[in-house]
Amino acid sequence: MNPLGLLPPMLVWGALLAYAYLIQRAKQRANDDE
Amino acid sequence: MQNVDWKKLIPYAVLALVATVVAMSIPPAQGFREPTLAKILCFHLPCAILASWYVIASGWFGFQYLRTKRIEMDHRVAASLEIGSILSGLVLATGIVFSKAQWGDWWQNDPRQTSFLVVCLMLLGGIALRAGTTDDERRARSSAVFSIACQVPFFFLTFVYPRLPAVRKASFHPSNTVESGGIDLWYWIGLLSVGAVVILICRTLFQSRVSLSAQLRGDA
Repeated sequence: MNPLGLLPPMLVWGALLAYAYLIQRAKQRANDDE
Repeated sequence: MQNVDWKKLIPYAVLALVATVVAMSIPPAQGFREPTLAKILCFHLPCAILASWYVIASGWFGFQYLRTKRIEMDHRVAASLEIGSILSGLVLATGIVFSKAQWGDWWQNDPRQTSFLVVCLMLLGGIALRAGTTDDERRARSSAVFSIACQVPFFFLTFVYPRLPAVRKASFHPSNTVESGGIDLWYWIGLLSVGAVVILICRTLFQSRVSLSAQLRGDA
C-alpha cells in the first residue's frame, strides 16, 4: 500500500482531535478558574 | 492532558475508524495515474463541502448578530470561522497529497488550489481580526461584518472562478465530477461514510466551541 494514502485520514482525524482537545482543555481551565 | 475527559471521544474515534476502513477498502478507480490513491477523494471532498458550509454559516450568523445583537450569534460566528479554517486547511492538505499522487507535484499553482488557499487565508484573517480586538461588542460587530463581506469573494473563488472556461482549461482539477456522474457506487459509499462522520464530529465541535465561548463570557 502506498503510504501517501494513509496521510489524508491521519490529517483529517488528527486535526479534528487536536481541535477537540484544545476546546476541552480551555473548558477545563475555565472551570478551574471559577 | 489528564484533565481532558478522553472517554467522551471513544464513540467518535470508533466511528472515524469504521469510516476510514470503509474508505480504504474501496477498489482502485480506473482513469487515474495512481488508481489505488483515488480514495483520497473520500477525505478531500467532504472537507471541501463542509468548509464551504461553515463559511456560508459564518456569514449567516454574522447577519443574525447584526440583526438581533444576540451575543450567542457572535459565538456561532467564532465557531464557524474556526471550524471552517480547520476544514479548509484540510482541503488544501489532502488536495496537496492528491496532487502529488496523481499529478506528480505537491503544489503546481493550479487555479483551484490557489483559489482555495485564498479562501483559507480569508478565514484565518477573520480569526486574526477577532484575536486583535478586546472589546466584546466591537469584536462581534467587526467579525460579523467581515464574515458577511467574505461571502462575495468566497462565492466567486469557489463556485464561479473555477468554472470560467479559461480557468477550467488550465486546471487539472475537475469541477463537475458529481454532476456528470463520474463517481461510482463504491466511491459514493466511501464519501458518504467519511462525510457523515466528519459532519457529526464538526457539529459536536461547533456546539462545544459555542458553549466554551458562553462559559468564558460568563453566560453559561
